[in-house]
Order: sequence, then C-alpha cells, then structure tokens
Amino acid sequence: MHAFGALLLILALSGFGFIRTMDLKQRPRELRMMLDAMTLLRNDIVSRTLPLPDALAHVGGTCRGSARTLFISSKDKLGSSTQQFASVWSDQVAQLSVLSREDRTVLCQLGAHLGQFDAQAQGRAIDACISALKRNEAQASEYANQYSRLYTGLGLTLGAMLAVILY
Amino acid sequence: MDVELVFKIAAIGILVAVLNLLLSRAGRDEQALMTTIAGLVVVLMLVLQKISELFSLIKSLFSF
Repeated sequence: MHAFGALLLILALSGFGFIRTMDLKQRPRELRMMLDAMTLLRNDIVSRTLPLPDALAHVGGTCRGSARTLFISSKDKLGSSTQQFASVWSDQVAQLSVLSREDRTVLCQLGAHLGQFDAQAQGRAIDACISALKRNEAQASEYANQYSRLYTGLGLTLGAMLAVILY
Repeated sequence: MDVELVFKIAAIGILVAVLNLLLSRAGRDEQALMTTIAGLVVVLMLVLQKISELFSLIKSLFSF
C-alpha cells in the first residue's frame, strides 16, 4: 500500500512537470501558426488586394489554433458592431492568453494599420509584425528547449524525493 | 541498527545530486545550492532523533 502511494506521488509530481513542459512548448507552436497566418494575410492584402473582411475570412478559414480564432472572431465582430477595426482587433488579441504580453503588443500595433492605409503600407506593417513575431518565436523556442527538460526532471525527482521521505 | 534509515538517506542524497545537476545545467546555480542545503536539512531532520539518542548515551556514559 505504501508502494502504491509512493507511485501515485511520483506520478502526480511528474504530471505537474510534464504539464508545465507542454505549456512551455505551446507558445512557440502558436507563434509559428500566427506567422503562417500573417504571411497569408500579407499575400491576400498586397498581391490579391482583397478587402480586409474577405482577407480575414480567407486566412481564418485556412489557419489553425489561436490565429484562426483571432481572424474569424475579428471578422465576425467587424461585421456585427460599429467599432473601429483596431478596437475590435485589440479586444480579440487580449483574449489570446497563450501568447505573451510582447506578442500581443506586436499584434495590437498591426491592428492599428490594417484597413487604414493602402495595400503597400499595410504590407509593410505586416512585414514588421512578422519580423517581431519571428524574433519572439526564436526566443520562445530556445526557452522551451532549455527548460522543458528541467521541468520534467524536476517533477520526477521531487516526486521521488517526497516518496522516499514519506515512505 | 535501523538499516531502512541508511537507505533513505542514501536515496535522498542521490536525488539531491540529480536535482543539483539538473538545475546547474539549466543555469540556475543559486537554486541548485538551495536544493543541496534543503536536502541536507531534510537528512538532518531524519537523523535528529538518532543524534539525540547518541548525546543521551554519551551523557549517561560519562555521568557519575
């Protein structure tokens, strides 16, 4: 019975470490999906000269994850309310809890340019956003690689230590 | 002699060493040191009663 309790303790703390590792790896994954979405958006606005709602619908239908949520809900809110697009976009960006504050700030800055200027200016704004998100993604990936093994090992070792002490 | 206590202390020592290694490799040297000290404190608490018995024995041996 003691051994079963010790095993449960080890599994529980290892689980915590594993969950923390998964959370760490989620942000770079979401940033990569957001980068793909931004590249599509740039193509739609600059090359295909689509109006903003159509571009949002097209990109939202193509991408996945929090990028899909952002584009689809921004397009829906834009059609149903009288708010400015920048305000709608900022509200939707604020709900992306998986991204960091720096990532959300970059996206909000982009929202101030979308639908306001000509296609070339919007393209430059999207390029600046892509550059910033690429830097953030590289940092997030490096951080996840460095600390994922630490958190997994920490959970397992602390679980084993508690099991030994309490046995 | 309580052999289980010896094995417990050995297991804690090994686990503290592993924790120290993990934290040092992650660049968290201060946390590694704190973990080592915490492991030392835990082991001391485990053997506290045995130390107390030892001092009582020494005291009874040398008392007249």
